[in-house]
Amino acid sequence: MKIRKTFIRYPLFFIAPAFVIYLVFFVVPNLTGLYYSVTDLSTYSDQVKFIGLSNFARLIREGFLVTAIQNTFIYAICVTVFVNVFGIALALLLNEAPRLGNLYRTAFFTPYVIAPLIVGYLFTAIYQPEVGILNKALRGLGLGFLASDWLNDPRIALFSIIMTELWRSSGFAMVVYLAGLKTIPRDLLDQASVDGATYLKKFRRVTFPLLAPSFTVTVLLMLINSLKVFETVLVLTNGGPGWVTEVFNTFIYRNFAKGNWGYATSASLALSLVIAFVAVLFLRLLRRREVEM
Amino acid sequence: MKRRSGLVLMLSILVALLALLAGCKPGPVKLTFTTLGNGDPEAKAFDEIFANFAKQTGNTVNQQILPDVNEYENIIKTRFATNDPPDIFYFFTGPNEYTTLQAEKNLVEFSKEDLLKNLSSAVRDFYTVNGKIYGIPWGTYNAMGVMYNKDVFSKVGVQPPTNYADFLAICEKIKKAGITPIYEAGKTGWPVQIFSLAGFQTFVLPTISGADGVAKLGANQLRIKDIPAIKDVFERQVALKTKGYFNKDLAAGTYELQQDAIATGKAAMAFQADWMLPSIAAKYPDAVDKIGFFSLPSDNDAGLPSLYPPKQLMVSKTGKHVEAALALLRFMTTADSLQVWYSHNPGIPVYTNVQTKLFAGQQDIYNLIKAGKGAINIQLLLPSGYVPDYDKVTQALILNGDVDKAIQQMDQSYVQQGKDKKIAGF
Repeated sequence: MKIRKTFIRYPLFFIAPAFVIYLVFFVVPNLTGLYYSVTDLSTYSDQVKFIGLSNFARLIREGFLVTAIQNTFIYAICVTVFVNVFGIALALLLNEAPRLGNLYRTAFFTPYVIAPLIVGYLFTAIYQPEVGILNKALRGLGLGFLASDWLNDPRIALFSIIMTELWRSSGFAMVVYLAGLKTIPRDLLDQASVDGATYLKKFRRVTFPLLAPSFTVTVLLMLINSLKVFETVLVLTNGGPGWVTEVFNTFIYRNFAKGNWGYATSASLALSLVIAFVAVLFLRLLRRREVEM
Repeated sequence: MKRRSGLVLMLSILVALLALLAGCKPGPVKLTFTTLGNGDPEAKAFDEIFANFAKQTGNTVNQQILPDVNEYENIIKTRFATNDPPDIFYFFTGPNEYTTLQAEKNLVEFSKEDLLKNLSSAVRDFYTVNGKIYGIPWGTYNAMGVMYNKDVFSKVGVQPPTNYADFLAICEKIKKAGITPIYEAGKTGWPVQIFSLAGFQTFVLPTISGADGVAKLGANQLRIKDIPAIKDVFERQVALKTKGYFNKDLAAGTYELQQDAIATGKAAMAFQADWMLPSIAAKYPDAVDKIGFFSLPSDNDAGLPSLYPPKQLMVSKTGKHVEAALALLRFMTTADSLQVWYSHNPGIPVYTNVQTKLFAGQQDIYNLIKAGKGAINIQLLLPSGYVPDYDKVTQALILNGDVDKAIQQMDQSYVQQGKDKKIAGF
């Protein structure tokens, strides 16, 4: 009995510090957030009143949130799809050319370690319509007709932000897929070659199915991170021009900044629920297609 | 022996304590003064005043300049909410900011202070609410309207307009001369709201019976969507764009580029206020007096300037050094300190014990004020403020031209803001 109690107690001692941190910085804030989301907490009064689901009703009633959700989903889908496409393409290229691999692996991964805020400031300069290097390069190459007001034209501002994230995150996807490619037994590919399979067929029938775990991880991480996008949008366009590039987190930030804390907390809770739902749904879908070796 | 050593020990401790107390004199105080970035001239003026204050009192002032005008209010509110308010700070104009900052709870009240004795009575009345004043007006009296380059006007052969049709004809003539008629800072955002704010008293106020209408709007007895003249003002602004009177880089235009365009004559006009003149003077000292001002004209006459009393200095009631902050405030409102301010930031003073030099554009405004022309800006007359994110509403309007959507957004946002601020009637 004593040995059994000791056996249980020691692991508890070891996980206690992490558990306390988890409780204090995650569980308690979420529970208090849940409480404040049904109150009128704001900077304009000291008393906090329970108002039921009024904040959530207001979220649905106000048009700004619809735009924010729309933009967030467009951003998330585009970033998730294209980061994975570019990531796989880069990984396949670097896998076939091991000599150049190290240098290019570092070069492609480096943008991912730069903070999104800094990347935003860099691209504000790059996208500047008159003196930015993107438009200057296009004009220099005789492609001046493509030069645009990348961040201020309402038709393309959101896609300019998406391009920025593609530049930043493709390297991360590449590294995950490279690791996945290294686990694929060489003899499977050799046997496919002997059987007369083309490169594309080998990729579809052998490589891609066996990359399923890497695919699951990258898609999920990209999806969750892009649904939470904030700094890049704030720095590049601040949700503008007007509200054209407003996303969920900039909407929440704006309301916190205005002092509508209860309302902003309800929006934050709504975002958490959306992310949780999407993450669980995709995890189930993606796990089903994973191939066990 | 034991008794003697105990006595010696006690005496030693006593002497040490006395020495410690003698060394503990109250040291100089370091105050935090927070302001929003508005160009070098303001920062230099504050630096000089604080240096003089330090010489006189030994207390130093740490000037914190927050660069983003759009976020300044949010940052100050957050600092109050986190119990870390600045000791003294410079804030936006108007007594409606008392509601924004929960003045009764957070700010020192000044109605009994003698530092208001030299304040002009009109401004004092404007800032007094229910007999209380929580902000000391400090700075220059500004006006919103049209800043114009006199050289460009002479070159094209036009004079300031006498009515709105005349204004459109002038724009057309300037456009045909190959010069941008109006430079709008679409990217910066906040300058784009000036046309409709300046146009409120010209086009809207007469249709809502003046002060009565404003009172009804303030009490939510009149809705923005039910005032056709507001829609008319927006349609006029969009029409200026469709007629090609705005700069080609409208969406990328910044406040800095706007100043450059007016000063160099690349653009003839800007919907702005004279607060841009000190910054222009710093960059283009020879050009600043070539910039004049006229009011946004109405259909029938030359219109009225939209008056903007100066920003206000406020002292946190819950700050760490309230008395020292009040001492700084008293120092800043002396004639000498005011003179330092106006030497760096020429403008129309609101204190009677100071003389200032005015730029040409400011003299145009001062002449209008002396002639009894002008109305206080609508933003400053409503208890809840005008419309939250108004800069974004007008930015979206000017880029997509959707007037009905802009009116709907304004109306919804204004009512919601009143509810959020718990203003009676909302």
